[in-house]
Amino acid sequence: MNGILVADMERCTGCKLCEIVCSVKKEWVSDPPRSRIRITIQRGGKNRLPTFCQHCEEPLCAAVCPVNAVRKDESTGLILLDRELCVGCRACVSACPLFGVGFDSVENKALRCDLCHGDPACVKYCEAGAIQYVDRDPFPTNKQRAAAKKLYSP
Amino acid sequence: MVTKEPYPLYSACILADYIADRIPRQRVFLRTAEDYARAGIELMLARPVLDWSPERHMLYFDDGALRYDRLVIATGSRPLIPPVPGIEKDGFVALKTLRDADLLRMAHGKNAVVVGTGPVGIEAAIALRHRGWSVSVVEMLDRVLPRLFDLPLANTLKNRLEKRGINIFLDEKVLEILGGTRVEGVQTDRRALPADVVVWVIGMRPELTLLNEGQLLLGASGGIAVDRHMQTTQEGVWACGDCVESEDLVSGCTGLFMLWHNARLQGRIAGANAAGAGKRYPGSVNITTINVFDEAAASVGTLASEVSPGERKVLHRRSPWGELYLVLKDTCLMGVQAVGRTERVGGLIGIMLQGKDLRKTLVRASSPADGPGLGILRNVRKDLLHLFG
Repeated sequence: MNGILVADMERCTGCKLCEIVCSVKKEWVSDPPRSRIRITIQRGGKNRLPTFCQHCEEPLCAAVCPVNAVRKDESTGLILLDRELCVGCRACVSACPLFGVGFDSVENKALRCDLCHGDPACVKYCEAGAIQYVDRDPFPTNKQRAAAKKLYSP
Repeated sequence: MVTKEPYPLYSACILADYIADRIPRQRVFLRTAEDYARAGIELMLARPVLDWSPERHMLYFDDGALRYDRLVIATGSRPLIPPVPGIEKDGFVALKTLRDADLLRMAHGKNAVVVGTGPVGIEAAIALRHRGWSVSVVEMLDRVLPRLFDLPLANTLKNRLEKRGINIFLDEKVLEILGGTRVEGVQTDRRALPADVVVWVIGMRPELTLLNEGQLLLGASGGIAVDRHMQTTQEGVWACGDCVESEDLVSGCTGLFMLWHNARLQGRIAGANAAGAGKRYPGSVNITTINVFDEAAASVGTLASEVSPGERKVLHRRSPWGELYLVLKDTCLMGVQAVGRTERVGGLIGIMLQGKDLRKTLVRASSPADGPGLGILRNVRKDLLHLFG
């Protein structure tokens, strides 16, 4: 497993099916607020922004966790949450610059995408193809290129 | 590794959860004695260092001494306790360590008075309320959580606390702890409050009792002055954690930022550098999250009250999912406070650290590469541009 999720804001229709699929797969209940992926709708519906853990190189969420429940898995590079250790303080929720961490107010614990151990369910159900699971290595350059194109295209 | 604490590493941030019975005692611990042994660290618990000689490279205990080649000072902080009459009475607890939390859990009675409304004080008050105490909170300033929130959001949180049965007395100064050998009450400049236990949490100061005059340079804030590599003014001595002063990444001000994540990163850097690495500490981030009866509140950066009135601009937004309070210095974002959806605080950290001119950014057309932080600001674009004039 060496992939990562990529979201395309422009393709996302804001249907939020991914939230339902995620909560069903992970919590066995259709409860979108307990999903590990969230669609933030901004500016009166103009922008739809799928957000999830980006598995950063130097995660601020792991730094602020008071119980070391957020750790980097050295073999996969993923930032994983130990739900047993999590005390539900929400420090990681407020610290993430990318809206990457959710909060489960039923179990009072943070929610973090673990990429379904290499088989992310949200990708399969995204009809618009806005969420993709791609290899991690070539991705940064591609993403940077795409972002640069969007920014500087005439 | 030498410490006066009788326990291996535990998380002081979650003592309130332990007091409230939300987690068992063993969950407070982050390391066991075996962890240290496995890492090849000789752990000397309950061994307070009584004296230090930088010239001889020696640390002295009551029953011996230890020679070092390189030293990392990580003495942390101690509760600030001014000479108020009555603080020696039974039932007076300055909450800081696991032992203090144990004391609070063992306390008997009905009325608790918490003095100070920092995060520790508020969390302690909530925890005691969960345990069934009747809780009063006394604060000298005009609002609760005065170092985290400006008046509007502090008021929201105060109302929330009061709704859950915590009495809050602002603008009051504690004059005396009443009682015989045991605490019986707290006398403020306005009233006498009955108390079976007094929790004293008005703030922390760097723990520097080990240092003699002139051994290390201290900063204006009273913490040990260190360079970017966490090295002190003594050759071969590093310092980290609550006992040092550091630079705030947002405001660039030097001060005490006694937060868990800052201390941990400083510790890693000081340790690595003492072992010969050349790591730099980027600076402190002043971000705090607090849960007030299942609602989160968070704050990062500078308060409006800390920005000079001429340059200060604030934007306060209420929405169904909470409140947002932005602090700006001219057109620069300096601080974010939120109640409810606190991820907005993190979302704006990047923009705050960049220190960009927001007017320019907001006038530009939106782009998919904007990211979540700018999205928040675009939601309030009109108000912000109006503020900028």
